[in-house]
Amino acid sequence: MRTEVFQQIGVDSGALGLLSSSVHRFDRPGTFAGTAYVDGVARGEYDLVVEEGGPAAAQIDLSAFGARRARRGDGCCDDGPDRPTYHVAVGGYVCFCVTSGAERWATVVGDPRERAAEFDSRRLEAGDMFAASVLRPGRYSVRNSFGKGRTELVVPPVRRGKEPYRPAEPVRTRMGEVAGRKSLRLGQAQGVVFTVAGPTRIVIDLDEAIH
Amino acid sequence: MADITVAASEAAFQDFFDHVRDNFAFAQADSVDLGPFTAGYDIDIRLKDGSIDLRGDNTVSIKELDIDPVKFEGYVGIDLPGRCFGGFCILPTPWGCAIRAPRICVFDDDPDIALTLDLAPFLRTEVSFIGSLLTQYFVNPNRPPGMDYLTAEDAGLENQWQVFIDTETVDIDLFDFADIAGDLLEAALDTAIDQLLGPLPGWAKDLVKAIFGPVIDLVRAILDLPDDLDEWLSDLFGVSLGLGDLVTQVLLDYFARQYPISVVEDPFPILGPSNGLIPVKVPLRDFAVRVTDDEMVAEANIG
Amino acid sequence: MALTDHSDLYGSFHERGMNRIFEHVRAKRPSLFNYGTQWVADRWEERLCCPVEVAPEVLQRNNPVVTVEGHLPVPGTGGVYGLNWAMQVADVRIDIHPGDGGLPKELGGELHDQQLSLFVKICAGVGCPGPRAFEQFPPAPQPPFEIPGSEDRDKPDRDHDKDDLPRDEPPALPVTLPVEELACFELDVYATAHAEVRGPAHARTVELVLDGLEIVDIAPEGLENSLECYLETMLRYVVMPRLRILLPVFVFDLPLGLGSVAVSAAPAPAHNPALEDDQLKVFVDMEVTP
Repeated sequence: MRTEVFQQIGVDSGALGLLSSSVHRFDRPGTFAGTAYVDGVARGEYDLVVEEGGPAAAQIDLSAFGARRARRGDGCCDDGPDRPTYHVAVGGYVCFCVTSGAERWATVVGDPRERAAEFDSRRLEAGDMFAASVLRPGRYSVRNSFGKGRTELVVPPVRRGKEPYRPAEPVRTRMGEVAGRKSLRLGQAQGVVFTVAGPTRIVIDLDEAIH
Repeated sequence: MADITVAASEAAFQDFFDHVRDNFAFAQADSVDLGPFTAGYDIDIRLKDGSIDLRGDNTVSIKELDIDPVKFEGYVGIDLPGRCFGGFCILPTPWGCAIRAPRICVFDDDPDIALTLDLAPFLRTEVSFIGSLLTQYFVNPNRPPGMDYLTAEDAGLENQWQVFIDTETVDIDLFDFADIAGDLLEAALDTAIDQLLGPLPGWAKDLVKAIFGPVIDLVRAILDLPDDLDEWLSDLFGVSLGLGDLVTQVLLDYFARQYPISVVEDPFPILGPSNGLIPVKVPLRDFAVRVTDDEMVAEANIG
Repeated sequence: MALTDHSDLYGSFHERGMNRIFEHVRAKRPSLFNYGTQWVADRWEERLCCPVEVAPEVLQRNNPVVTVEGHLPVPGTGGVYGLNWAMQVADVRIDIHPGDGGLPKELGGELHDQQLSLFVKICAGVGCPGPRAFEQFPPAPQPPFEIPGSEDRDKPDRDHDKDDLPRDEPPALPVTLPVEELACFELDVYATAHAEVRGPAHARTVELVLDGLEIVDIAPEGLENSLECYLETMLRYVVMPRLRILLPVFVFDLPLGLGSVAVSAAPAPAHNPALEDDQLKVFVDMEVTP
């Protein structure tokens, strides 16, 4: 059993874990270099080719770099011919996610010839999306670490019924709207998808557990 | 008139029976693969009470012998279907979902759970059967043809006269599953799920259980359980696992085929070996055992 | 009436079976029944007085047929000379009341209630040396005859002669005087006895008690009485005590290691063991122990 699934109590878009993902749309063609980090330490590199005719969406599992390094037994960023390359269409979406382990990941994608990054998961920009699920029932606060204000998120405990529990469809909201809402309510394991309007790092902290 | 006559009263026979009964112990565990699930048992039984009745028709009746279950557990092992979180659509489009959150599953594989059922309350513990006395001449199968009796004795391969209780066919319906069998199964499932989720905090267990839904329904679907749960259990343990036959057979073997109630070495030792001298043994002929209402009588002639 | 009306267990042994057992013991443990010198044992088939039926396995396993004893010493030879001899218990038969007849009139002619008789045929013989043996083995040297009146004349030499006397030499090896065969005779011995349970409750024993003994057709009467006395003494001191059975410790194991059964004499029957109907009947109570 994967007990780490239940260790993801808080959510941070700048430190992606199980049950949280960031989505960025790539509009410029080119070959970008990506780096995956854990606690600020680079753990792997990859290439992302944005090209006409590429797939409309791609998924990059950051936790795979942890597995690759462990398997190879060498240092970071020496992937050589094994350095993975992902493809996506111009205007396509890339989902940066974590599918295993308890570590918290970040990634930066950019053109090596340019100083500014195309995408930095620690600082979401307008048009990016952040999706998460919260498993533990409780009262949470939702905030943007680059902005002001906070909103309460309530996750009531699910009751065992005569039917198996199936989380409802995800709640979709814009981060700017969230900050303005008095309270947000989610079921356990129900998804919430934030669309970001400006520089954002979404942090969801548990304030009080509900038993 | 026979050269030697030995008789044991019914009271002596009862003493002997009590002793044999108290020495009985049987423990066994086994399982079978029944496709969508496995089933097994783990039992440890003793015997108590019971009486023996010698009958004038050359039979012995054992009555009201109680099976004393120290442990009488059955179990059903099933693979629960895995349960996952996430997988919801992050970016819906008119043509479908463009990006989905990854599915994060709680279990690497379909989890195995074993439902342990205490079957002792459903055991009909009282057994009675009738057997006739049977005298057999036992030639040790490991004894080569032509081996003389002294060499056989040196090798521990002596022949024997053996007296058995030859049991008549006994049909013992060992199980009587009551209506509460369903509750039993549900409680076992709850226990099994709790054990499965052992390392998790309470809220996480509640969440997983909620996702599983009512486990009895889940298991009903997996096991294809009929409404008549007691009959299903009876079939499973009594027929598929043959537990009823096993216990019956063990009992009958113990009192009959496996354990001769009397063993007499042939030739019978009169004087043991001494200082290189061979033992003095006399052949027993016409060994026969019979039962009257009052006693068991064994007779033999010296050959 | 059930055999176990008075006890947990009952056992009876018919005299026919007991006599058959005697035959087996004689054939398979012959050295218990045949005694003699080494000369007899060396060629027992020819030299014993009565033929012996020996089970083949006895010879195959090199078991002795004859228990070898020392020779019969000739008194006065200082143990130097002795005679070959043999004694066999050639037949043993038991007869339990009612008797089969043939009991000597000296023993009452017939068995009483609860009595048994034992018939034992003894074959024995002594090796009588012939003239050639006497020539070959002269008597041991004796001191010279002393002629009255010659003491003074011989005196100076006597001390010297004394030194040469054989009695000061190491004793000669014992010699069993050679013979061609034994001079054999047979004795028919009858004994009557009954069984008794004796001793305190915690140590009861079943014993055979000798009632009488008779050697048939032997004369003179004094010799017969002496031999009978000798045999009776041997029976009382040697045979009978070995036939006692201590009941509380008479234990036998149950099959397959299931425990053991200790038996004790059942108190109810009038005679226990009973000697009747040509059988020895035993009534015992039992206790099964792990």
